[in-house]
Amino acid sequence: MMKDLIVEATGNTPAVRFSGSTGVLELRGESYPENSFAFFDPLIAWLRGFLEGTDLPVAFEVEVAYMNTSSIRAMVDMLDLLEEAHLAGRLVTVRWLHDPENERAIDVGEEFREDLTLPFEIAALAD
Amino acid sequence: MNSDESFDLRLASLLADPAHADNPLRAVLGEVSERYARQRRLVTRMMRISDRAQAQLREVNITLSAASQTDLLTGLANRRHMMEQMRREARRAQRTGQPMVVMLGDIDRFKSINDRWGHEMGDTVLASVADVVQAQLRDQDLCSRWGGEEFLFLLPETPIGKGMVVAERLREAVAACRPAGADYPELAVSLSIGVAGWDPGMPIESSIQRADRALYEAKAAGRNRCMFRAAA
Repeated sequence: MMKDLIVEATGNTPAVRFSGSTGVLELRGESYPENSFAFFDPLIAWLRGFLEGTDLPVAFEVEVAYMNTSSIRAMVDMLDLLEEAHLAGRLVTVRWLHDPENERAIDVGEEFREDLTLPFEIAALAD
Repeated sequence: MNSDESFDLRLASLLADPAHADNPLRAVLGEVSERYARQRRLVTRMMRISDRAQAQLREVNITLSAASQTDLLTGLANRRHMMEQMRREARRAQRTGQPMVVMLGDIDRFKSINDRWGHEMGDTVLASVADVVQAQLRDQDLCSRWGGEEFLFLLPETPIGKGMVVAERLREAVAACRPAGADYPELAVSLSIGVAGWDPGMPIESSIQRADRALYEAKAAGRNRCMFRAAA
């Protein structure tokens, strides 16, 4: 079984809760890492390992209101890995959560969803 | 056809040419070409998402900036925003050589309105007075919530005589308004106003101070009136 990947949030990086036992992967917070490779490479490596090493369903929950361009890049990479798994027949869902006050965040979620075929829900965060 | 497309075509026709079928570079080139296309798609996708993310930030910025300039209760400019706008108007008037009028209005006996009817009614009164005075002003006139029950006005391109006429009109409109409607006929409101002129070369602060002194005199003379202070 995969070990969980838990990283606490900082002022520039989101909280990471990737559960190896349930397949629930959560990213919450803002994402402006100074060194995006240092922050995201372990996440992407974990995700690869999880997808290769298990066949659990994956529920990816993203609640990241603001992110810099290199975080967008890392997000695209992770979503592409999930898309690949989905196309290979795995049960994969993405939930994109946004602040109900910030309607424009829906557009950002839609742009991420644009190139994917996996189930991708965009929902307002409950208060 | 752009240069990317013509390169793609050239590459595709070379790869498809049976004359090069045995070339050891063929397989590698094919892969390079695929990777290149993938990278190009990624860049396009990244730009699209990034543009959206930036548009979102820009919108948030605009909302925040509007919120930081506005008084929540009355919807008028707040003191800080008013001060910026007044400095800008003063620079403009300095160039054009036009006079301006500064007026400071204060709701009479506001504390007793709060005491007798409660703070919620006090808020209603503030918002109503803000609506009433704003409706009397021209587009170019500035109106702000300056402090608790104080409103500061700036009338660009206005001589002091015209300013007194406007002040009197504001005073009358406020005195005629019934902020709580027919349910509270005893709830009357009035506004005392101090008026001061501004001429090119003056600091705007000195006009505000004179308007403040004129307001004090209007209060001392019995309230619900307009007083004017000439330049010292």
